[in-house]
Amino acid sequence: MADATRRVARAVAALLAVTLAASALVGRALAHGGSIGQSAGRSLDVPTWLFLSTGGAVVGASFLLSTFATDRAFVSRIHAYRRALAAPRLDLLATAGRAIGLLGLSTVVAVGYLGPSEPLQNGAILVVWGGWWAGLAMSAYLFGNAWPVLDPWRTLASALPTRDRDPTAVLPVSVPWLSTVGLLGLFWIEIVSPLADAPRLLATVVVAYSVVALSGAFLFGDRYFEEVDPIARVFRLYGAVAPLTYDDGIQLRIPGSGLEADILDSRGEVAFVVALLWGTTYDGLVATPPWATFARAVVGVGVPATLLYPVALVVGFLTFYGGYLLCVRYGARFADTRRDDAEFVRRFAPSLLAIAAGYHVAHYLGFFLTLAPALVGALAAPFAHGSVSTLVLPGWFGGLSLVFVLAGHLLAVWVAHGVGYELFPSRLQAVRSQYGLTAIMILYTMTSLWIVSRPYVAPPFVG
Amino acid sequence: MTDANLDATADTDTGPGSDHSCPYCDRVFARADYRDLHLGVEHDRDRLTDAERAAFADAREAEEEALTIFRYKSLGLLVVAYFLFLMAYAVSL
Repeated sequence: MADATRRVARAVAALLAVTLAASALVGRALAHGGSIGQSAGRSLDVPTWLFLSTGGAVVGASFLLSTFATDRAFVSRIHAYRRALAAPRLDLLATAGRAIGLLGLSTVVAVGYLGPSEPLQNGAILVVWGGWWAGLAMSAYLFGNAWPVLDPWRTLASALPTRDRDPTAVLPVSVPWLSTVGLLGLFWIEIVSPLADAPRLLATVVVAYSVVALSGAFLFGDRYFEEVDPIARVFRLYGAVAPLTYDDGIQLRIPGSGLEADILDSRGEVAFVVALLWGTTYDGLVATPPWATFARAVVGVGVPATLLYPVALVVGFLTFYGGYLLCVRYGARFADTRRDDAEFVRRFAPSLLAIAAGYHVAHYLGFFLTLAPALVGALAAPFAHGSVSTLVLPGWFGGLSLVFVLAGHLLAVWVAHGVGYELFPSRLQAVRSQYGLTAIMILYTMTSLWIVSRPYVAPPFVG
Repeated sequence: MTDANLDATADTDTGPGSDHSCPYCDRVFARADYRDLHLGVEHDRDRLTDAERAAFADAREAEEEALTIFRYKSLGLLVVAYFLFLMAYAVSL
């Protein structure tokens, strides 16, 4: 066993060394590659094709290196590692969290309608986009999911009467698919509407969402938040990536190890994971110059702009989803197994959440840090029309987004390795089962690296 | 020797009739050595019969050998990829 452990230690050291060497290769591109690009017009020294293939190769190479960790005991020890953290008075913490959630919701609505109309001075805009969708979502996968406690609608609903129906029995469609459509709808609204510039509109949307959530909770009780509500589902899935989890007390685990469990129940839940990944990608895609050119050309031929965005969102989702199904099913053939294809599709999908988290942090960390001082200012004096302070990030910060995209993918490769070991008795079978998945991961990496390295332009025909 | 040969022929036969099922749970495997590995990995080794334990040991040894070969191949692939990229960077920068 000691020998095996040493071998694994050596393999891990080799993995680190090659990853570092590979990142040194990407280094030159990083130095020039921008953020979710505030600085238009810069260029890469490395030709785009080489930069993208390097990113893809890092993912492929990390897959090969992960196959060097062949000690089952080591892999499952990492997976099963848990440590209970002592947290005094969790009940008080939860009550405080619920109060903060309610305070947040009332602030957003009140300040949205009554506060300053300048977006960077308005607390509603800053709380929703900076504090919640960037900050809280990041905390969900970097630390742990606090949304079930903070969720103001859940808190409100717990005090209201409910009919406690079963959503699967009442709704005529598949519940996870409904949730997926809801998520795509939220992405669409986020991109095409001026929600980030118009506080009054944002407050109205928040009120409308509250009406939907409270009616859902009236019908289905807690099951609305557990099964139907897309926002609660996003936070729960991001929380599966995180190192902290709640299971009879707060527990610490290795980041990503929550993704190796069988956490998705149906095909619809797999679709939701892919929709989350694609939505984050799409968010970046529509802000690139090639998209602007494409959109102008398509609208130039007479396609209405209002149709272009939702159609592209759905087509892209179907491409990502179809690509995932195709690759995982095709990959299963290499494994020579009697297991069901549907099981592979379900078990390997959570690894995509690590990738989605990587894209999200690449997309939003700079945004969050830039807006953080404005957020604090707006919360301290919600109705004041003072000057706005934002943080100016150093130039190299944008390059970090490439590192985050790659880090998400490396975690996903490791998760898939653990899942393969759990599914198959033969370790070679486990490796072979991941061929297809690795192929689609390489494609996803190259797509997102391409998007992240384009300069930012505002999406045309929106707002 | 003869037994091993017989086993080897059985392994390569992947028709629907050739399923190898686990006597302790409901899992079915495409190859006999996968089932043997499964017995040792998933089930309590004290519960297995002597023949099953021996089959597991054999399958484990064969798996280790195959893994070693796979590692060499991966390493070769990594070296080739490394040099290709080195060359690509040298030419295009």
